[in-house]
Amino acid sequence: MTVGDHPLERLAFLMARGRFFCDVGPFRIHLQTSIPAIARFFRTHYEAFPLNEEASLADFHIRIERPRNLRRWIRPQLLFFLDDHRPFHPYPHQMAVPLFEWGLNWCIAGHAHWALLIHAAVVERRGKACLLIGKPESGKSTLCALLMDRGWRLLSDEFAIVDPGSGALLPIPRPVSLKGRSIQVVRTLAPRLSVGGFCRNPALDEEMAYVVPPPDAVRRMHEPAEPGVLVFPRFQSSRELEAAPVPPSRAVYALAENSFNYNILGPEGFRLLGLLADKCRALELSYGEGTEVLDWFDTIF
Amino acid sequence: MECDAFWKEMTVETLLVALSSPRVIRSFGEGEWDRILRVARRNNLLGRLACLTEEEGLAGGLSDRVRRHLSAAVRLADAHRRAVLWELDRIRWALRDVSGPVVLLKGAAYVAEELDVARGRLSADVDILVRRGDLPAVERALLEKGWEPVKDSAYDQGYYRNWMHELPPLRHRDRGSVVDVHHNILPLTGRIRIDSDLFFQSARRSKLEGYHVLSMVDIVLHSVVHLFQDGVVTGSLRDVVDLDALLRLWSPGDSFWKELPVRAGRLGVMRPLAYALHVVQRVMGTPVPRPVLDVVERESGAGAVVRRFMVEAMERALMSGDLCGVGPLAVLSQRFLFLRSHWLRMPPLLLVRHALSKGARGLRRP
Repeated sequence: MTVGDHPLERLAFLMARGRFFCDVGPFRIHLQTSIPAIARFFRTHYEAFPLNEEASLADFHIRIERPRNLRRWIRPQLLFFLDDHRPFHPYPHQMAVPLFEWGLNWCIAGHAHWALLIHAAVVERRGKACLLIGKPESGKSTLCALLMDRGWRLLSDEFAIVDPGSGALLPIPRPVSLKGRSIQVVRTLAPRLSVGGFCRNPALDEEMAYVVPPPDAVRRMHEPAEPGVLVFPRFQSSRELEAAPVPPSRAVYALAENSFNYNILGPEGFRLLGLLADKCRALELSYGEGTEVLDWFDTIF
Repeated sequence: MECDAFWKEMTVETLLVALSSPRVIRSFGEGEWDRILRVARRNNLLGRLACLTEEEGLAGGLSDRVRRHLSAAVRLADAHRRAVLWELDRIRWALRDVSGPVVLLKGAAYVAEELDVARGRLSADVDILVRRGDLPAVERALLEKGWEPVKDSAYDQGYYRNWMHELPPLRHRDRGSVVDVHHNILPLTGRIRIDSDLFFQSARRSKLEGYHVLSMVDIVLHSVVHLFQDGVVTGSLRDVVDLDALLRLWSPGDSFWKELPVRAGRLGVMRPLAYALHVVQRVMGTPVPRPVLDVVERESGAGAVVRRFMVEAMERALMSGDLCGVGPLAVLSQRFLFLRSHWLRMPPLLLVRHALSKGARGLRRP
């Protein structure tokens, strides 16, 4: 059974009644909410993910609901709960989808210390994974979406999950989040990708949207990939394409800086970062507009 | 929150049984694990449960999903222990010119002394006790070396300085870690006053260089006092588990049970000790020798009715750490204990002022 096997009405019912268990990569999520926007988002963006109505154990029990005060009606807000803990301030109602997505990110980053977690987009080709690591605005999600369109397999837009036993990367092919100008870029350069879940972030006055993960990536979400290349992208308008090698000594620092929990893993985290830096070729990539950069990615393996 | 029958069964009792005899987890199905993981996390006890499971070699029979949660908790607890040790290293460096003893309290002491109770304990905060006369020098040194006050409103600062037994908490500006600097075990305003000199007299050198720790019985009595005087009720299941571990650790010693009531009398904390021994014995099955219990009960001066009421209220509040379905009685017990802890802490007029000040601030929040 996948999410897409159910009509929207049924999904909404399961979610509202607390019977919605969905497997997302290595995690099983129990989601309870009666917010229609979230049910709709799952119908479109989590269509290929397995649904499990009989589950009795979930990794995260998430509830999203409207407050029981005036803000239920006037300038309505939403609350996010993990169990009965509320980690965030209330969100504006129109931000339901980002609230779920960011909330789930928070759950993973704060709890999944059985693995090493690095803030990165990850795509795979011929069994080798490419990690895109960079600050916001570096274009990592945009590149991730465009590479997906070129046949790379999506592993993750947000987390590189390193399995401590094998050193391999575990996929979690959730929707790819786009912001501001990058939405238009992706729609123009990759019209085959479906983009939805639009909303406006009032805090930044910025449009947001999510790319639907390709069904093939979701079907293969239990198939790990070997780390191959680390790319540190930097987008700059009308910049010439340039790729410079990064020595492992510097790559390991960049990985540590972008890791959510290597300090919690302690010596093991240090070992895994070292392993990644040793195994992977690391490149600093400066690029501007155009598709030249995508051709460059075809040459890295 | 809406609760279907599935969640209703979730119990703190199961968690406590698992903590005192970890073997029972072998009989847990997925549904039980789902509940126990959440209840344990909520009560800050998942690290303890995970470490016990690992030590008893019970992790083998568990599903991958459960194992992952437990191994994450073991790692987190390890990280907290490392963080505490590093923090103690930095504090020692910051306080190197302070002449008086620096006594470690609670979690920091358990970690420094490598006590069993530190195993899997999730807490990275550090509590230290210094002589009141050393307080200005200690505060100055910490402020110079990068610690900053967490609460900087004038009211909070005044509240801590005039009435409490500790400085306003200090947080390191880079590491974000918090250190509480105490000059006594209980607030200055409280009914029960403890002469802090007594603690310093019996404090001994810690295994960790440059620090002192309280004597065994004082560590236990501090844990007792903390359990009963602290306003924060949700965390206290962990305090009971701590107390249980401490008592089990030292109870085989010849003199421990002899010294405990004597010392409690000397410090004037016989009554909280009586309540605590009852609760820990009931809730955790901690072996407490009958004669000790008799002496403590007799000398505590609390009548049987009062004691039963207190123990009952404590127990209800403790057991309410479930994920849902906190009954009205549990809520009442929590409120009662919260009020009581404040009552013991402050004279009535001050309590009213404190409540008004806190309440007014709540109203102004946007």
